[in-house]
Amino acid sequence: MNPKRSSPPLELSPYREEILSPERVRLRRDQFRHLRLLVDSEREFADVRVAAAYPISQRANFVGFLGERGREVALIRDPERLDPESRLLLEEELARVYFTPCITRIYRVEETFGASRWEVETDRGFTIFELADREQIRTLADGRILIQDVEGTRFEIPDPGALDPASQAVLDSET
Amino acid sequence: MSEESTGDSSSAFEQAQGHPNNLPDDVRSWLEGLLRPDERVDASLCADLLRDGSYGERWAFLTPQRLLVVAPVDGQGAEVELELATDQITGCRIRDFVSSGTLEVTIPEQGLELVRFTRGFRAEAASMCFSLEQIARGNAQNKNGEAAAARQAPPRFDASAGRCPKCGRVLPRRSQTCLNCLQRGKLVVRLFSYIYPYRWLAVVGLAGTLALAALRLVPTYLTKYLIDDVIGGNDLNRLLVVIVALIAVALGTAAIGVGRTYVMQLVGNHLMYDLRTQVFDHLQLLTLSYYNRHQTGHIMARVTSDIVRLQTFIAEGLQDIIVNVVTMVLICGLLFWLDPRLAVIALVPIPLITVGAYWFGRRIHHLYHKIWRRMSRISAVLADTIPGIRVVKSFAQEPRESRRFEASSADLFDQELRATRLGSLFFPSIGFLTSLGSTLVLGLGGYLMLTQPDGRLTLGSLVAFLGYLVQFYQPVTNLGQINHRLQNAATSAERVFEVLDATPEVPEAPGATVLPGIKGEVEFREVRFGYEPGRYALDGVSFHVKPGEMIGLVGPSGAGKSTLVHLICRFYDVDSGAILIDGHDIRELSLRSLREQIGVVLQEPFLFHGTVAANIAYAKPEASPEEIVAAARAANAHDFIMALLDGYDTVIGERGQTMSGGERQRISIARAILRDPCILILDEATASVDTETEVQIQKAIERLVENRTTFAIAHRLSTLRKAHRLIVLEQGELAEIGAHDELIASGGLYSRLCHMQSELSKIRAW
Repeated sequence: MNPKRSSPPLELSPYREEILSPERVRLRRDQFRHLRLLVDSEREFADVRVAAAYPISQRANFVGFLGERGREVALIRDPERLDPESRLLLEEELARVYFTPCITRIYRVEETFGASRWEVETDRGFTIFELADREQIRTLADGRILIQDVEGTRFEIPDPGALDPASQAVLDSET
Repeated sequence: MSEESTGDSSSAFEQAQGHPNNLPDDVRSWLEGLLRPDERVDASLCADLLRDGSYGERWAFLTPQRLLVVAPVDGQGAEVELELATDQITGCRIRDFVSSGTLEVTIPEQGLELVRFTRGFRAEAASMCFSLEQIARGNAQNKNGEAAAARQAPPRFDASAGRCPKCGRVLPRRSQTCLNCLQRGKLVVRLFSYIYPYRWLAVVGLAGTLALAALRLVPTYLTKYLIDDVIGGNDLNRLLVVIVALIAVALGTAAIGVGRTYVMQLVGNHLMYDLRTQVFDHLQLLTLSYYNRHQTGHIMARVTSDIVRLQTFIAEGLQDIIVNVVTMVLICGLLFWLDPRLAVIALVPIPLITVGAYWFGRRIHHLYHKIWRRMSRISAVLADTIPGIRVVKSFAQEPRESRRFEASSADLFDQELRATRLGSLFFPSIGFLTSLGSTLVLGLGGYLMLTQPDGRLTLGSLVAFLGYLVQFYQPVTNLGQINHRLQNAATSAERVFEVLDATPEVPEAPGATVLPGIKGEVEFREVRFGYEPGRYALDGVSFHVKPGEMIGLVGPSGAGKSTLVHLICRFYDVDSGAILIDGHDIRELSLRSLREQIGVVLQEPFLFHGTVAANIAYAKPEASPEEIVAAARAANAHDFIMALLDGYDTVIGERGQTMSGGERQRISIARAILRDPCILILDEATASVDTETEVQIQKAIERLVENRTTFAIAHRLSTLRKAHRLIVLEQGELAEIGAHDELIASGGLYSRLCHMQSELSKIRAW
């Protein structure tokens, strides 16, 4: 019986009370591929994780940076005003974290007893995914359709009306 | 691991499992070219994303010397994208994102992204990560001059639970058996095994059904007889005979109809009763993980609506099919017997009707599903709004809720309209086709009668023919839609059988020993357990608890406190390690004898519909009134129970909503006291009550814990002041263990938590 020593108390970030303007922060990636966040050129947080506050409705607007044990160290708004390097890095990271292929064409949907198998073209290439039931298809208030497959991978149809008629017909019978 | 191939019997799904000897043939062929002689693959991983986030195949292979990331090249061969010597590896991690993940390794002074993958590949990646971590640990030990620990095989990371273990196909939601793998025939055979006890009833019902189908054909034939022989032969006597026969047939039809309906309903109800009982009995045996996976509503739906659907199918659907087929065959024979020429003409619209009916069945089936989904959306709005009406009103949001309801309602309206349009298009079209058939027959029949007045065709035959024709088209239309009825019934049958087939996941060991009266000694040996593959809720926890000791379980939310007590109750089985009670591994004990020794008081006590006395005596129904009162007194519940008008006979409403949280809690403590368990588990027993009630409950608990091994979970540390020792958990690991004073002195997590709470208590008395 040799319990591990409990972790030392966590010091909370001083920036947790406000929403930072992007001019105050800089991002860089260290050689271990960890993101580092520098605030006001004085405090640096190592190995931060990015998390959008509204990943579905306005992914690019409010971005939080989570540090040790998932505690937020800073929240910024309008990240497009970041310096170009940081912005590029953030966009790359957001694209990774919120990887969501957009469906551009539905080839066919094969259904057996409520479960379905979809063959689709996405902006990331051809893929096949499977749904356990139709409750995994969500129509958002703005008309976008979000699909989450059995494995938890998400797909999006940004504008169902813009799909070709054949895809729309398939989609229509599934929603 | 043997080198031989698993052969063709392994499905593509098994091949994707990442075991080196399960590699697909094409991979195997180019892999040989990349490996050095005598280099063997210890672990492999297939990933489906490229670095830029587009779909593409990448393979990672781990050999004793090297870690390779390989890009297959179209057609043949492959290129090595990344190569690392294994002795460079210092660490490995998986980063989990919303839809995807990446596997990263670190080598001295550098981190590298090995592969990216979507979630379906996570289990394999976790397994690879496990191997790489072991290598990293070995490298670190080598560096420090320690002997490297023996390598372990990675634990089984199950691929997602929602797939059929045989064919890898996704299982329909709320289903555990793969309908593709299950032979449809088996389903029918199984369904018939439930009918078997009532086989004579079923035979009688079926005979009645067939008799009915035959009887329905008689009046039309009698009409022919009436026209040709009675009227044609001017025979009044025979007219009487025909009329009497028609009345007899009508009476017979009615009588058989009544009897048959009753008999078939009887069979259906018997069947439903048997299934319902069996399903409920079986549900009691299933583990908590089954209940975690399935929503209560869906489980309830199986016991009720799915079984009703099955009954409807057996009592009505099955008969309909038989009647339709029999009627169709009989009439078809009759038509040809009456006049083959007309019969051929009559068959002309049949292909159109069949195809039309099939098409209609499919479309309407889809539409009904859409309508059904919209209805459930409406009920979701209702289920949201009506219980929350106080919130709605207090924020004056009635108009918004109305709009929300209207939107769902309008959506339903649209779909209903579509179904109506489809129906209103279909039935007249079928009507048109059948009249077309009748008209053709009438035309040809008329022509034949005019041109060959002495031919075989009589007026009576023509009339009978037309009568049969109407009776003929109906079953054809019905049979066109049969596919969907069968599918629905099969799905329901499957859902019901699937509950029955779900095996209790904590199986009783064969020859499980019955735990005798115990002392209450509990030992955890390197216990590991996770609800999800690769993520441990408890990770290598070991401790030893003496009989009668009170243990406080402390730690932040999600640290694994509740998991720990669930494991003691054996609601789940440990992934590795062991839990021993009085030196017996709990997996070798009979579940009943184990749980009889354990009493649980939960944060949200659950009271059943029934009297106060029955609720207290739930675990010991034979308890005497004196015992019940004594238990209630010990639980500080007696006074408030006596204040109730009906005392111990007061009926507690559904889930005890009529009582306050503290009252319900004290009743559940009385229940535990009456049970007199050796091991007591208090899971946040005082979290949801006010300070005064807590004091009362606290006193009750103090009486309860005497001489029992107790595990108490509490966020308010004051609750644990009587605990002999405290176990502090942090992220699934044992952070600290010891008495209050020792832990305060050591200045760890516990002392920090205590400090924070005493700061708080300056504001709020506890």
